[in-house]
Amino acid sequence: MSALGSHQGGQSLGLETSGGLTPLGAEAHPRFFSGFLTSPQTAARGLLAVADVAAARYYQRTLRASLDPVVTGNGDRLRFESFSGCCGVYARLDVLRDGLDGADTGHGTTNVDVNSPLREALSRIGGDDPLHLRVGPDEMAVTTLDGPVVEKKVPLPDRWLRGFAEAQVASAGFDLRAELTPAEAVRFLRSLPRSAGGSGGAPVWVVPSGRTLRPTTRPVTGAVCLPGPDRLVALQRVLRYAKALRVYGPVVDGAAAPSAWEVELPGMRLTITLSPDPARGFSGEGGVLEALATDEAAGDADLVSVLLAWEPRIDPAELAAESGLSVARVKAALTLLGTAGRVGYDVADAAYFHRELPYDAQRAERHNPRLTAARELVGAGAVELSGSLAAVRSGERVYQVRESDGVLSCTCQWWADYRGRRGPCKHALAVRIVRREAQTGGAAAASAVTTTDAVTTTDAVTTTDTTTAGGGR
Amino acid sequence: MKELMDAVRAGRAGEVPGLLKPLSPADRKACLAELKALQKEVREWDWNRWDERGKVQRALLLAGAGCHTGAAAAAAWIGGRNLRGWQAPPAPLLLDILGGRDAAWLADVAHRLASRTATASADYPLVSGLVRLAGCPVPTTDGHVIGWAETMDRVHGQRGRPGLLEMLRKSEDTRELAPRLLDTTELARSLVWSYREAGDTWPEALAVLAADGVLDRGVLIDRAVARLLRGGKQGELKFALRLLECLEPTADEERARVADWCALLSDAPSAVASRGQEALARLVERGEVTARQLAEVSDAVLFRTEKKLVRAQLVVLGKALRHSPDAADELLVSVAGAFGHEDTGIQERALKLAGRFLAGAGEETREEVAHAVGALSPMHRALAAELLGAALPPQPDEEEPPPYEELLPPAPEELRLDPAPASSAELVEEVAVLLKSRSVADVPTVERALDALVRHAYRDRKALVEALRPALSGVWWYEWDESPVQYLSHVDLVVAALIGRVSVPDLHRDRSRAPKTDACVHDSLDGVWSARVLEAAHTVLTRPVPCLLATPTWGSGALDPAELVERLRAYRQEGVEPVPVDFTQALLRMRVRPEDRAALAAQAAELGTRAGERLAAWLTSDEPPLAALRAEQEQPRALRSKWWRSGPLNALRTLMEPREQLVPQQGLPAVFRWVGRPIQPHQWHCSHWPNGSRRRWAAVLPGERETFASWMVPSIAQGWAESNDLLPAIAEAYGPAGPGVHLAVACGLGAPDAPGRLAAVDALLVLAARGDLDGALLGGSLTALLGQEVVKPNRLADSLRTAASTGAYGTVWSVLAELLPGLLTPGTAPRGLSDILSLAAECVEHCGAGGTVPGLAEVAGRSGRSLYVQQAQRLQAALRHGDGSRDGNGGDGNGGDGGSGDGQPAGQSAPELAQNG
Repeated sequence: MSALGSHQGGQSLGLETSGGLTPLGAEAHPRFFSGFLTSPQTAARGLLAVADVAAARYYQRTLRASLDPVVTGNGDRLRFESFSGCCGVYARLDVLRDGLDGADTGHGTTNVDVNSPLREALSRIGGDDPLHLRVGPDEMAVTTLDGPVVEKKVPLPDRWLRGFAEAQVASAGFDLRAELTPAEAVRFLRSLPRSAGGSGGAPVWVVPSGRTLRPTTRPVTGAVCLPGPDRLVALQRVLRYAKALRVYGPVVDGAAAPSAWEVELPGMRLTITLSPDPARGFSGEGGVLEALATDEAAGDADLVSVLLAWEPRIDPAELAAESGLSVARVKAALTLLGTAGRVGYDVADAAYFHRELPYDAQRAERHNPRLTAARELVGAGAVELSGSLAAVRSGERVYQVRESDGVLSCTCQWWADYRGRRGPCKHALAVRIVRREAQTGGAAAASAVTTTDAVTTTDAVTTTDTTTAGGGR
Repeated sequence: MKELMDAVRAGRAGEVPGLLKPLSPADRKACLAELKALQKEVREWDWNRWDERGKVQRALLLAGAGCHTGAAAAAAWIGGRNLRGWQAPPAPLLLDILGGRDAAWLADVAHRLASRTATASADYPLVSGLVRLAGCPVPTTDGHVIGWAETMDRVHGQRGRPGLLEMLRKSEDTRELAPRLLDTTELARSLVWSYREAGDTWPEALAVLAADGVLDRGVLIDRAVARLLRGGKQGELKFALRLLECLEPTADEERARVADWCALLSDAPSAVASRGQEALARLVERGEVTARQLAEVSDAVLFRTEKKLVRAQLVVLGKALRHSPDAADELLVSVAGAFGHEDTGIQERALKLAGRFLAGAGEETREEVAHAVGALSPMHRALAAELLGAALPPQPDEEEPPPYEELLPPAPEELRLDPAPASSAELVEEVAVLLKSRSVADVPTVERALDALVRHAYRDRKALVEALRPALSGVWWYEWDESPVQYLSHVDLVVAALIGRVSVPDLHRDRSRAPKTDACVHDSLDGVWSARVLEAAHTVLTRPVPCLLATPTWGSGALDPAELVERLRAYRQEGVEPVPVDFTQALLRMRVRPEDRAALAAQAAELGTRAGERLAAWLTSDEPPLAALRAEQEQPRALRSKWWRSGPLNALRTLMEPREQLVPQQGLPAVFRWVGRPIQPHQWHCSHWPNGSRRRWAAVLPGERETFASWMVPSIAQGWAESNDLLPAIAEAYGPAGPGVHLAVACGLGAPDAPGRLAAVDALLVLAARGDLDGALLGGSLTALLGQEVVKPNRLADSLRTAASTGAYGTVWSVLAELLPGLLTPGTAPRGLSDILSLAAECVEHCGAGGTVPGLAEVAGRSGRSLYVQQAQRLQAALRHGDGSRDGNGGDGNGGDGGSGDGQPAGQSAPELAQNG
């Protein structure tokens, strides 16, 4: 059990791990880090903020969720991630090298246990006392705790896993929109409502104005959507230590959008990513369904995943060179790995990082209801292609799916409600699958070549990978 | 065995224990199979046998508990959801049945039942009975603890029963379970919702038990503090606080938990933080907190927004400093942290505290304090120089601050509408979206789709209908038997007409119906749209036109007259005449620059059609086409005197006097006639509910926002500011902005809902950015609304602060300068006025305005230290400062360093010093 202990040298925070992946494979109690935190009080508050999100539901607050944060060692930093029970808020605390007193971390991902006594102890941590952090079991205890690898048995709903992964995909489209000084950050974050007000309706937007952010009801150019501002409440914990507030969001198209809010702390960054609506979890965003609908992307993703070694920043160009794939295909593969929970996206670095969710996240994505429904439609022969149009028969009804500039649109209820903003509908997915099948069927020879090509590359690359891993160790 | 099954089937639960007793293990095993079969059978029963089913399940549960051999299986059978009704199973009967098993087995079942989250608290009597039989340790799961607490409480609730304390004394579990009451994820309800009389509440009873030595005081205090640290619901925190209060921690106990009090004071909710502060204050008085600890916690407290906590902490710091002046080095840096607090009163307290003890501090501390002086409000700069001047090390001359620059958002650019979709597949898709979507479409989308339907129907109606049909399945009226004509008032009506679901006579009848004479403004505006849709539906069936004339060019609904001329040219080529409502709407939507009028009129006349002539005549007419509303000359005074009737309606009526209609109305179709007439009071009275579905209202008259605003003022005053995009639409539309527009914005600034106020702030800034804002006019409207309590000062202060803090200090000051004289009247100050005064002072401090505000000197000169008077003084100082810099002595006022320009700032603060002394 995680706990805060006192020793003659000061306090020591031990975070216990449970079932995770490291470069050596699955381990029951992986050990990533043992060293001192540069700013103990701030780090404690940051951890509490991450734990707050893990324990919260920001929509229909009936039951308290209680899921453990996930920690990843990327060699030069520790990342603590959590996801709210309502699937709408993603929080991540990155403790960078500066925050770890210059120490290196191990590589791997696991759950950490944050229990009530630990939370109480964390809030008690004072400013100056040195704090020793240990992620994973004590050196003495390693031998006793090392048993058979047990996968963590938390009954996680599929939508939670999907949402966790989908949040990464959403943030990959973000750009920096605003940066605030500490004083302005405090003023702005304090002006936000602390509780969810009424049904709300239209989302609030903020747009940079001079040194601060101006709230507005209009999605003007350069604005960032702030849906459910009360969901940023976890940032209040670290407000006092804020060195800057950075706001990230996608290009405005008038509709509610996700956004990321990053508070810079001494040697750390706390980022909170919000879904486009408190009532709308990340899980249903469907940002990657098109990519999932084909096997090509899955093959690429498998290849790319072999090359990942818990890098803090993944460089697509480098991966492309290593894998022999084009940069575009590597990016598509990374997107796909993102939905499987195998890479995360860091908006501050504008780069993916390697981490493996210690759950079977891929299963959740494979069983995406829309994708399953689309495969059923294809199986039933419901799709009829005619040029850029297609008719999809679903039960009694026939839907028209139209392609224009590679984008598929439909005449169904889902399209009417979201117009592609929550990913394609099942009809569009079915058409996409049939089109790809028709293409590959027509060019069977070409595809055969690609496959062999890919296989050889994989072999070559695997060898390189082992050597690098050996050298680095 | 047979008897047992019969009893179970008959639901005679009471007989089960007796019938079980004689059965051998083999019999029981055989029974179990039958019981399981019966359990399945009962589940399938029809719902109306619920009574019978309940009885049988009760008996099944008992019989099964006796027949299961494994502990796990027995616990699962008893705790499982499918046999339990809404009542917990009868504990005495079950205990009777299970009594014969060995102790280890019983203990196993007890602990298993206690760890079933859903049922453990209800099963408390059973589990505690089993524990007693087995003689095993008491389970300490959340459910068991809560079940115990509820049991203690429930029994007490009955008349004539022993009190809670007595119950706790009697219970064998008290020693074990009471200390865990505070550890459960959610506290037991009886702890949080206490209806008990004083003297016999949970906290008091626990305190007595602690005093008697039954419970460990230290553990109880630790658990209560831990609960407070963990945070939670208000009621739960309240219980923990009350328990602490009853336990009355001793000096030693308080000293042992310094870190806890500090943590509570830094981060906990206000009520809990004050508890921490009380303890800390006592410890400081006894000298039991190190200066380092106190400085650290003070940093956190002085950062908080709660004034009460911050003030109290400054008192604690003052005492500590008096007690040990050599701690000044540690503590004064913390004190200086409050210089940046948003409340100027707190800044002043901190400043005086620092001033008193700075002499004893070292060089480094002085430098840090001097550095923090920059965060003080300008009103305190002089005082800072006075109090700290001698003690502060000389500061390098501060750079001249950059000149103030007003920051306004860029004026919104108008977006041109995309042309109507060219392919029928694209159109079908857009129609499907409009008909099926649950969200409300904006004006451009709807107008585009309507136009496209008309265009495609003109080209090839049959093909269009064929393409539309499949996309309509799932639309609610599509598979109906009767004609949906009366329920459709949208693009869907045109679609229904095209596919033959509504008939020409129906459409004709509806089209020729006269508009209601008693309609409200909203209905009348809706009427314009319905008339257009009806007309379009009728037209596509009877007399198709190549396109619609009124389709806007820009998103606001405005139409480029050159485009209208082109459309009329297309009509001439096809030999088609315009339809009346569409054409009139087109004319009303035109946005014409005065210099283009003549040329456009000539082009229109050249067409040689009747429509062309009408357009030319409209363009060349000297008078504005509609009744504009004219402002009375001395509006604010008139408003105030006549406003006793209250309500924005009367405000509007006194504010504006409608001019008689100038353009003959013969040319206007019936649905438009009201537009040109003076507004009637009944048009403002209606029971419409604000929702977002009427975005198209503003697009009826996009070039006459003054008229539109005056129609909408009552709605906005009723809280519609945000819905329907009313205020932003008004600000972004065209035409002169007069009293109507400003009154609408004024009403919005006082809206009860935050989104409404934000919409008004948007409108205010957009008006200012486009140079259309008249600060004095807005200030006057606000004075009137405040005077009649239609707008509340705190709401107004909130919205104006939002506007100002984004950089529009000058704009907001222009409004406040007009507003303040009306508020600064002799007598008691209205509530919330100090907020407005402090905002005004902030604006002036930023934008450096000068001048005098009538009545301000009188208020600022009042005795007393109320917030209201303080802020008046702050504003006055800021205004004088502004005047000063304007007179060319700018250098004097800028520095708070006291090095230069000593005379003037000191002179300014003289009255304050006199009062403070």
